[in-house]
Amino acid sequence: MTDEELERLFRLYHLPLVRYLTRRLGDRDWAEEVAQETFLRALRQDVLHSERSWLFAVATNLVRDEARKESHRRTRLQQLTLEAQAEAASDVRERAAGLSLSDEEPSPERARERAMARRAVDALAEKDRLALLMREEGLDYREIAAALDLSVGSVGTTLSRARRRLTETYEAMQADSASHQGDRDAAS
Amino acid sequence: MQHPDEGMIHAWLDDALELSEAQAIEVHVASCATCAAMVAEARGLIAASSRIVSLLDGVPARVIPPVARSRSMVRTRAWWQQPAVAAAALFCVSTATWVSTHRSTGARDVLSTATQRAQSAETQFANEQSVSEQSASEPTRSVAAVRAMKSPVPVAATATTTTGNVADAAAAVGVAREAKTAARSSERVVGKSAAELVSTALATAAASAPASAPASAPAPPAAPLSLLIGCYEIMQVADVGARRESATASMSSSARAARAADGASPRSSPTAIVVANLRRLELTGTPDPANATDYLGTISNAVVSNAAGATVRWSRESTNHVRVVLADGRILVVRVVRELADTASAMVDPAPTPPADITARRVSCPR
Repeated sequence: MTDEELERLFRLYHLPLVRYLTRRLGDRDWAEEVAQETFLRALRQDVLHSERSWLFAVATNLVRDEARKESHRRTRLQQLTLEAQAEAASDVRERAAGLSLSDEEPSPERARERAMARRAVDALAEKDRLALLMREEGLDYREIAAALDLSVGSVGTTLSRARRRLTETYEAMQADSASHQGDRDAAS
Repeated sequence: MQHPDEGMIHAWLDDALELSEAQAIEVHVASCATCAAMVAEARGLIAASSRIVSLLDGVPARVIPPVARSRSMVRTRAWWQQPAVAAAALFCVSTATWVSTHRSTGARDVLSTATQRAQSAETQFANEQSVSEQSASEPTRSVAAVRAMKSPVPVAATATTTTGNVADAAAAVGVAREAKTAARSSERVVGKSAAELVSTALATAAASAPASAPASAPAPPAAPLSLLIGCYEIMQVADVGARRESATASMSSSARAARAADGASPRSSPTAIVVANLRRLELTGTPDPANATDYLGTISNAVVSNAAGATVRWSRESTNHVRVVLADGRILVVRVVRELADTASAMVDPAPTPPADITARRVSCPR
């Protein structure tokens, strides 16, 4: 693949690929890493047929491989720990300086919604989750089928199941959260 | 025709069926109340799941994504930090010192040689600067990184003579700061969405190279973030007609209250529509990458009702902001300053045909 081809691929697909991976992994840095590796592999290909589904399929497989590596997880956990410590230290410093970080922090409500969304997405079956995330990035049914090794005819069923389960799970979590909040309010 | 199953309905709504199949379903749904209800439910599920997935976009860590290098953002090193110039200067100074102290008969020749060497060094520096600028014009740092991984030549060797990692980092930090500043500026006007704006602005920076423009089209100049983030009035210039009336007629009391509070008068232009309830916009025409008012992509954070028709809890920041992926791949956060309705049913298309044309007009943000 030529440099021009790489640039064209990058311009077209880098952003949606990273967003897909970030949603899949919950970690932007990791998503960037996997995206880089995906483009690197694309570079080694002479010709790419159905390039978008190829890129998403390779990225998905890379995530799967990465997830198997225990060492990576340990590194990531260490990194998260360090980040949390650094953030805590930064918070203390900024508050000591009389600055508020509230402008940049999500509201508790928003943070709770995000956490629930993460749990609801993670609760989906792997194929359902990947199909849904790919669809959200605009992949059509043929591309999703190619990337996930499904038949085109089954993509609609997969997506409908994923959407229903995701929505129901999320709404159940919301209802649960609301009832707990009600209990707390009543207790106080 | 038999009743279509749920998967088929989703495929129909996702525009994934052959034309004949789609037409058959359309005809059937129009005459079958049960299937019409299933279609309505499926629309709700699609909208709700999209909204839930979009909640995952907020990345908690303070991550600076790779950014496109901008020539103005590339920090050039001071002259004494440029090896070639520094060497030339040192050579000139030492030679001049030697000449002034020895004052031999060949001093002029030595000085002439020194001058030539200095000029040679300057030429070398100019060449390096040219390489550096060429490198700076590459679309993104990530592309360069992929290239570097491909290249057998050690990256460090190149980095020392080009803008290098320090400049990259400086550019990244510069863009991030600019994004934060712009987001804070918007925050003062808009309310509580600074974090969202920051993350989106950062994503904008990451994507400031044209993303989806045709390869043969000339790349449009990326607008500064401060120009992108602001208040926009989104208008539809086609395919409005009766649906606008429907939208206005079904305006909820909260929307009326919000509109009254905003001081908005009834819209005189027939082109105004609701965007807060549109989940996805996919233009079928060819977008013009040079025109910043052409949009292609997804509008998210704009779904306000779930499958059962009950209102999902949404803060104003969510319903008032839409994120638009521009034709060139940049992401634009816009605040909808004129809201005509906030009921999803008002803008549910009877057929899954996207609007033909959407434009946005920048307006001054209300205080």
